[in-house]
Amino acid sequence: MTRHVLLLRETQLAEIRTHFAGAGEKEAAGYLSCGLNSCASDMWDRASVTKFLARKFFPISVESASDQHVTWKTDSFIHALHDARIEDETVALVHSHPSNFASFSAQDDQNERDLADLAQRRNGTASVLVSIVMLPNGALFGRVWKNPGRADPVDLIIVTGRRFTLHYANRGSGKSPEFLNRQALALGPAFNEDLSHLRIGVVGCGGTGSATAGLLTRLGTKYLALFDKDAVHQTNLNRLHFAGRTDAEMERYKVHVVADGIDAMGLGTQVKAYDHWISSIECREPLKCCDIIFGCTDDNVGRLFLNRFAYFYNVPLIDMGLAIDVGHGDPPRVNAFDGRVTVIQPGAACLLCREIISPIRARQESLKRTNPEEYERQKTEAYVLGEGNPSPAVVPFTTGLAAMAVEELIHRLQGLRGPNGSIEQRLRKFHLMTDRRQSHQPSADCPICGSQQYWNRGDIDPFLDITA
Amino acid sequence: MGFLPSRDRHYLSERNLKFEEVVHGLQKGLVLPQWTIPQTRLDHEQADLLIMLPDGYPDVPPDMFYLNPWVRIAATQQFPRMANVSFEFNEIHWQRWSRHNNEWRRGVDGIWTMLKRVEHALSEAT
Repeated sequence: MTRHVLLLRETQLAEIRTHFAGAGEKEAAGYLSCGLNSCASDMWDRASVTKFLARKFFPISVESASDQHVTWKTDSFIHALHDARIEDETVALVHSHPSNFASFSAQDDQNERDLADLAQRRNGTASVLVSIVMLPNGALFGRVWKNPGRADPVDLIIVTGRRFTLHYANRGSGKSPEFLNRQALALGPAFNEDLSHLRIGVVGCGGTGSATAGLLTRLGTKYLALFDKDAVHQTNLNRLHFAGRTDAEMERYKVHVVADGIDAMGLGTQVKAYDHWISSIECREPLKCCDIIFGCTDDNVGRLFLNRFAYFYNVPLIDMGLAIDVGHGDPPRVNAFDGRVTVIQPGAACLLCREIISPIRARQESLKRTNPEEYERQKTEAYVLGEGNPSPAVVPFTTGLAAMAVEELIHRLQGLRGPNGSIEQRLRKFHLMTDRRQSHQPSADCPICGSQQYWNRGDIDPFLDITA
Repeated sequence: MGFLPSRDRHYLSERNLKFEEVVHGLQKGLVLPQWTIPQTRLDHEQADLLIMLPDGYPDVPPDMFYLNPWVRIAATQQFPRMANVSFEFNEIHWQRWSRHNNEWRRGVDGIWTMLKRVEHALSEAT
């Protein structure tokens, strides 16, 4: 059994809606070209996963239409198949049901069988046809034709952007566990249900990551993946949730310590732990299965990798960082006590354009990991800067930063802050007791966020078109 | 399956330049066999050229480059300045050319930029 997911961007959905609105009470249609994210085995239910990543919408000129049917010439479909073959993409058909008919009609079955047949004859037997229907209230549902005789449902549609909107069968009719009752009183029952459908990754399990993982567990996350290569040290114990002195003495991996703590809570979160660098092959499939990522790492290579991943796979990255800068004196003079949360996804400026990642530092980190001897030699030759002093960190601030990041997810799923409540980058100056909203423009030459070439591109070789 | 980004692969193929993507341990290096050395004072006309690609390339710039066999200034038979340190990669002791690269325009620069830098460094070698 394959789990099918469709990822759409809010701006693409707006294009589709505008096209459909132009048809008034009649049905209308278009194509979406889609990149692919194929995972052999989901980490939680072992099913294979195919995610279709919508890249571009092409409206169709119809031949005839009523409120119950729409027909068009197949020329445009053949053209779409031709382009899809060159780009290694899949074609998704999207059409409206202005009659509010919340299922596929007999007419849809017949049309789509023919199109699925055509797709396989033109683009090979591995070629599938995705079909999506939009109802007047904006609800979406879909199916995937693997061949003209078999259609499987699209299990989940996620629309990303300023808000994250989920579409799945029977949304709103599920029952949340009792421990989430008070939360449902505040946020509504659909929030709990939505969260239980998402696969969430936390990259980095230090001060901010362990706090984020703990908050996500209490919030009712069902599928959680933790990634971190480091072991617990005594100097982490001032801020690492779930970790004790014994963990530091045994130098246990942070991910296992945090995963054990989450398991012990017994709240139904199925947590998976990966003690590898995030760019390593061992983390690739688990990462690709995630729908949302929290970036809680402080290394440049890891951030750089996640930065590309967010655009290639349309997986929103909620990245956070704490910067404490103090001068001399007792107590030290505070220059900065800043917490930052940034939401990275197609349409937003990337972490490189925001100068949050240092490429030169990333190069040094890479050298240290792949050839420690050469790194040490270059340090003595003063070709590399070295790591400098350890960064200051204090638990209420690392934890508060994690709370800011998780709040952003809650708002984007549920909307509690109202229509202008999504914050692309929020900077909290803890010492000044102020929050600032920051916006950035992509650099024109940036291959990641300055053009759409990589957005929703999905699987290509090499992975992310980067050396890793 | 290689590790070279598509733009570089496209560039090298279009110019008919032979290349090998070599993984040694955790390190990745691009080797251009029998790279033509610009006509200079050096004692070789060709050498294998190695460019180490850091994780994150091309968001992260490459740094130094390496030659095998080692080349010398023809007239003096001395190694050129800052090119007398050995770097081991794929069982070969390469001649490390300590020419550093921290100026890198993302989205603009690629292997073509690095090859220009190599040519420049070799033609200026003293």
